[in-house]
Amino acid sequence: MRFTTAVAVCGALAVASAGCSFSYSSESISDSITGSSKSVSDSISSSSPDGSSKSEQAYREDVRDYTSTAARSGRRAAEFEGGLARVAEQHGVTNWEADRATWVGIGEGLGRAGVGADELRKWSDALAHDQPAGLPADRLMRQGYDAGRS
Amino acid sequence: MAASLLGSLLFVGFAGAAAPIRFADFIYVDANEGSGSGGHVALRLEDRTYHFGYHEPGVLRLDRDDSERFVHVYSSLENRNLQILRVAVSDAAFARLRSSFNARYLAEAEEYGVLDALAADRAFLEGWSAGWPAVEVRAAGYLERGPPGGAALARVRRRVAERYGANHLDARLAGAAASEGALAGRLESPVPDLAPVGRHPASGYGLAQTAAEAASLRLALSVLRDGARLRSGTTATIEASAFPIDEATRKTLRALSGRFEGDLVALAGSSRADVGFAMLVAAARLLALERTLGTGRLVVLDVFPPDPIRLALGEIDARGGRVDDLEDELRGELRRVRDVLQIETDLRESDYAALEALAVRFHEVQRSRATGADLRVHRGRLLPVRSARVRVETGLRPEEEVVRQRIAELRDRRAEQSARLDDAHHYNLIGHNCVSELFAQVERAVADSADDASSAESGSRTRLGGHIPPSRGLEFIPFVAARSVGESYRVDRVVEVPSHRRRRVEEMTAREGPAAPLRESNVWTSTVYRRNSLDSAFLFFTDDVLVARPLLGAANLLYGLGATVAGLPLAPFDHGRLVAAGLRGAFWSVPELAFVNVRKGSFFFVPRDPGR
Repeated sequence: MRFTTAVAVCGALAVASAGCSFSYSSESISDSITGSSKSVSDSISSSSPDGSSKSEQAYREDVRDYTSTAARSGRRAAEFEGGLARVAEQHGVTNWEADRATWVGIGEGLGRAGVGADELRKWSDALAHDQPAGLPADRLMRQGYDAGRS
Repeated sequence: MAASLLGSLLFVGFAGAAAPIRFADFIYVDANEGSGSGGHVALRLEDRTYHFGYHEPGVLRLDRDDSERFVHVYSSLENRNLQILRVAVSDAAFARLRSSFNARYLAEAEEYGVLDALAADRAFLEGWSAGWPAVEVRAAGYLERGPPGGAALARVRRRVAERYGANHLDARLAGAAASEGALAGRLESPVPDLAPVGRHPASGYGLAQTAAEAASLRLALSVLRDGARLRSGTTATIEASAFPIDEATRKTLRALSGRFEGDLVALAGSSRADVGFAMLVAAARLLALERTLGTGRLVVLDVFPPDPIRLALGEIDARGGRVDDLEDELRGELRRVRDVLQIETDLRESDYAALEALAVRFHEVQRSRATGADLRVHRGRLLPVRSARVRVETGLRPEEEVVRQRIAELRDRRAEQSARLDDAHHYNLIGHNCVSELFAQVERAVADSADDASSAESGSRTRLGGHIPPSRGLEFIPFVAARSVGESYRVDRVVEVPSHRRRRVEEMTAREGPAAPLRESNVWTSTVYRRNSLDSAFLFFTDDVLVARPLLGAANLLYGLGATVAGLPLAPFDHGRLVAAGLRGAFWSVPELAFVNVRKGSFFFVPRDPGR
């Protein structure tokens, strides 16, 4: 019992001395030199049954969650674009219009947020109309929307 | 143990009732000196791990890591032992947890982004009122006016004319100029109120962003219309042996080049606000790819930001690292990517961005080795954002009084946002730390209703098998929290991940017998550990011995004190490093006298996966 108490006290003292882990501690700088432990080759390779890569799935998930929160908080489609561009950049995507995952992710997010069909159409009109990239953006949004609702 | 067994039995019943089973892994990271010396906790949700980290100036923010990276950093580089408590959850509960943590992560990034946006607005207005309205145009730094030749950009120009008409670029340029001229009208609107923290915030005033977007579009359209070339010193050329370009690779790169051409044509007709940046990036990459295909050597944009961390090669050595190891790691990955490119011919933009970043990092290590210059390092994703400062053609100069008013509003809003964020995310050792906030976020994620606080407990019991209130007793201490998780949640099994040194010593012992642990017990004869200047001064590793720990701790204490004394005359020359290391060494030896180990040593570099 005395031993356990000593361990607990020492542990608490250790916590008090430094608290929580620093984000990006200096111990991990070699990880930044080599570009993180995540393998680039693995991330590029197709890995899912639908042929999408890990990086594509991760991007679509972020777009979905960002859209879902934005739709729930009543953000308008026009305001939404700036935030979407920042999310896309974090995945190495600057031309988000030309990426299928963007449109599927937006649709999924709207589906998860529980927006109705009329609202979906408004978002689609504001974002997906007249896409010069040639993607069927509105159809991809609809596909994501159906998946997000199920 | 009994609780774990009970948890497992309950899980069997649960599993039978609700089909798909997934795991929410509570990770306990044990102590080591350095940051998080009391340990750390995280929630792993398959390939993503979420944890709350300390950020300057004294706030706690949600960090998100690739799960392999998290384990690598804490278990290998920081040399800590991990305990992973695998909590069995339904598919629906898993989705709730992941969406909730992810949405918070994205929202926090936006909330802090508002601070930068408001500061940029203010700086732009101040420049404007002084007669020099200018913005940093991202990606413009890669390009300069050049001969209109260059086959790839010429093809784009031709296709744009065919698709949108011969005067399209001129018409769009006129539109971009009009947008810049209309900026003064924006000043009539006051700076809007801020959204509450925790909600999706409005992006601030957005004046600087609008100005940058307009200027960026003007530059990008000029590049398409008038031609451009890559600015000298903004690219990295990779040696042929590191990235051989054979016919299969060439085919993939040619397809990618065609894709960027198509992207540029499409972007020339896009009405999205940030189209200029995307066009500049695509144009610069297209020129880099054109050079790659022309020379047979991979040429990529230098994507390091203007203000990277700079690490001297001597510092790498002092921390126990070898530049050779870093180069080998990057070279190996570059070859693997090259192999993938021979099979995967349909690359996304982000795939190319990942290759670009990897190639630049490799080139940087080689450059640093060859020249002896400091190594540039960047934490996080590398993006082609090298900017150029560009004057915005605002036309009218705004009225002084209006500008003064807007600047005051911007200053107030920024101070207000900063105070709100500090208040919401302030770090407090006991009441608001990495443990309490993790439990609080779990509670929010699994609550039956977001508006009903009492539903948190019932939701947690249903979805996780138990409930741990965010601030209860000693549970702010990581190892106490881990014990509570084992006793409260539906833990299916516990996985122990030994620290890097322990793993290596166990392997060596199995291979070589008892001589190995003896040899590896101290910093002098160890073959696994190389002295790291970030570690305190110590002699013996005590994390894998218990009975002899106080004795070895006493030796470490004396060693630390000895280093302190020896460091005093050296202080003017080594900036007091040895004194500091000695004092820390003595400090972390004290718990060892009471059988408690904290210090374990750390590693500058550990290969990601030596088996590959």
